[in-house]
Amino acid sequence: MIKLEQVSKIFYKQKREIQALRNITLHIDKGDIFGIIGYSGSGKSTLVRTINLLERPTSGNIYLSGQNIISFSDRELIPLRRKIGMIFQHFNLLSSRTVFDNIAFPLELTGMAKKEITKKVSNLLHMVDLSEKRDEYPAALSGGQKQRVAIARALASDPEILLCDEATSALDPQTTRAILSLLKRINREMGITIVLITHQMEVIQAICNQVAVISQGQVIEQDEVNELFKSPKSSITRELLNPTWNID
Amino acid sequence: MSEATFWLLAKGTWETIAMTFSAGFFSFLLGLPLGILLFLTRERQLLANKPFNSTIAFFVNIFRSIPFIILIVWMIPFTRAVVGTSIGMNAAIVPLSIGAAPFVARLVENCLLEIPFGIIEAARSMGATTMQIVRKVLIPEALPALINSASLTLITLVGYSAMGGAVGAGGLGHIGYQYGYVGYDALIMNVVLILLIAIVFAIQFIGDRLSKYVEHRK
Repeated sequence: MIKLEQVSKIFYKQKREIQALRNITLHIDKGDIFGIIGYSGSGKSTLVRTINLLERPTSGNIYLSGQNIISFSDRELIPLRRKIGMIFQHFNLLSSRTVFDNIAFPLELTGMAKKEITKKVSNLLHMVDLSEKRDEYPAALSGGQKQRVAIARALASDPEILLCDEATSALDPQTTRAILSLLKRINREMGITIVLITHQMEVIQAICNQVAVISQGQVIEQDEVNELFKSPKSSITRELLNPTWNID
Repeated sequence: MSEATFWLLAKGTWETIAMTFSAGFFSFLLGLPLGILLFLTRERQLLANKPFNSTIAFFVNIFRSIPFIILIVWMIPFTRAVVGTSIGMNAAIVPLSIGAAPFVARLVENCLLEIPFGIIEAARSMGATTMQIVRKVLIPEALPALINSASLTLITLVGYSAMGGAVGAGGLGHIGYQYGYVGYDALIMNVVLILLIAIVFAIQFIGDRLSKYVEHRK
């Protein structure tokens, strides 16, 4: 479904080279909930953005359903991106639009008829259990509600893939649990492949079936979640599994 | 106050309002697209293009450096080409608009910079074209700030329009200068001031109301 092959990314900051990703090769199967875990600055945010080419890699190939997208022009990327949903740590809802109009946004972009949009958005509102909030503005919602709006918006264009960029990092544990169970349901009922990046092992444990650990732009370990928890190989993985708060 | 004075002031008020609002309209017509281009061509933005950005910024800064009273004179050939004359209200509107447009462009750019980067990124991730991002994301998200910028521009133009008197455009500023400064008629001068203050307050009041009406972030 998603295949990254030798993906590298170099940023230039004031002429200084920063290697964000080093030769990353990953294979994500259809229907997976694939977790990518690492500390801040490990390159995981950049990595997830290469899948829809919000960040263009410096070298390497990216295959989606067997098609190499690396040479796609900006114009060719538009229909492709409409098939890949994405949610973010800070939700990124449009403050000037109501809940309904936020979810309708990606559909408007495709020029869908108003009637059809209304029908589709109503279904999505029902699915994320926010029907009674349809005319509210995002400012009036809680963090969990905002993320549910963002999820509905990401699902509006019937994507095959959902990318989650630290989607629960700004939420409290209880809300995190609710969002994760919603993601799990979406994966099971709609067969959407989910790629999720996080710095929290609990998130991986709760819903992922596959996991890759990334550090300093490299994949240092990749396994099924159960295996990783049973026998972590690297010290960074062990640290992520068992974070200690000893402060001298 | 004699009837003649009353009509003089009424006419001046009308001229000031007409000049301010038409110049405001045209300065946004020019400044809004210019400001959007300044924003979009910045580093890391959608149409990032350093040479292009520096070039527009260069011309914007040049026009912002020319004192307005000199701009009026300097632009006379251009003004004549556009409206057919270099004196009167229509002739004053041309330099007023051109003088304010670079100011508007910078204001617009600053309004757009206030939009969180993630919102633009989210729109890109949904397959929005640059044009769709401008129309459906940038302008609506920045609308409260854009309205505030419009109030600011109009109020600045009220002041600038006083200099329109130099090319016979009339207006309250000109009356204040002629009757107050030259003729020392204290009554007329003070009434002119009160009228100018009233116009400025009205613009600010309506601007604040409109801006609040489209503000949904709180």
